[in-house]
Amino acid sequence: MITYVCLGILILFVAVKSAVYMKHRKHTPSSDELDLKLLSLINQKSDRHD
Amino acid sequence: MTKKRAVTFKPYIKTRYAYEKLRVCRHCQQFTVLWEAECSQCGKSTLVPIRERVTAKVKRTMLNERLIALFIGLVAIYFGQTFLQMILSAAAAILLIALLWFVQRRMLPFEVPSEMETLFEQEQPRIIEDIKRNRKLAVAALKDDELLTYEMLREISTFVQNDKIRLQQVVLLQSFVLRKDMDLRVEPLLIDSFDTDLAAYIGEVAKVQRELIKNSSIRYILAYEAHILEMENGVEILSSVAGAAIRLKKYVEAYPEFIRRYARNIPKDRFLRLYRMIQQHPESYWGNLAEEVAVIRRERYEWDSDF
Ligand SMILES: [Zn+2]
Repeated sequence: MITYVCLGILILFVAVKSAVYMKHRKHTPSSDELDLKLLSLINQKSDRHD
Repeated sequence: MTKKRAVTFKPYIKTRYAYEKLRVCRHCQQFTVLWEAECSQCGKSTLVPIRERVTAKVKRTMLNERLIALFIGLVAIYFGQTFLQMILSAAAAILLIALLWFVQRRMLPFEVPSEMETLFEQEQPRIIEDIKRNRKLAVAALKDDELLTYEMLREISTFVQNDKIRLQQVVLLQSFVLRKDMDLRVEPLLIDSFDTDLAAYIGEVAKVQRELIKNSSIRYILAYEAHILEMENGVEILSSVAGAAIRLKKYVEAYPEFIRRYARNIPKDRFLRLYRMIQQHPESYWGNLAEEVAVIRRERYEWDSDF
């Protein structure tokens, strides 16, 4: 019985993890977007302080 | 004016993306945008590019997931009631772990940028703080080595984009002798307001590296022409920019009045180029420039065989 439960959990685990990866894949930023993001994060604050 | 120093810049390594210049210490997690080999905080040689760091972290997480899957699989096998059940559980577990591993491998190139984005968001205050530390370090070097300060600020300005850091660089650049072979820049240093050092710098660059004078620099000079004329060498600055603008027909066509105003002050080779440009394209609109050029040619170069 426990064997089946464990295998069930394992299937669920792999399925959930795969789904999470697929979701990240959809929203993954391009290198350009990543660069813009970093620059805007750095400059929005430092501008106010300088 | 203080005496200018002859210097040679350390080459500026251009990266396609700014974040490629951001590194983090594996040991103390401090960020840096400079080129130092050892972490300035903990002194260890454990600085790695941010992408490398995030990739390692993602791989680690993926490995942990596989280990969890393996553990669940082992429990399933352990509690198998018959030998066949154990064999079948083992086969199922291996298959599932292989599937997970396959998905992970395919998703690694997407997972890393996602994770980098998260890291930038979460670590924003620390990244800003550490870049400020870099800047303090640069300013602290000023007393002994202006060149080093400039080189550091040049790196930092890849990330920090404000007028203060631009002007700091311009002021330092004005203390060096500018040469043709130097890795100079103009556009990234332009600011919104008028600054005498910046105007003087543009004027000098216009002499040594004409090709760096583009639309935005000409527009800057034009916008503050009245201010520049009040400077000691104002006419000289404006004339060298006008001379540099003659490099391309499109600039002459865009700013004929500006070039006309300083046509008398530009050197012969630049004037010759302007003269020929107008001769070759009589159909273009030159405004009063064509007339002025004709007058100057008659007055100064009447008997010059180059014309
Ligand atoms: Zn460190």
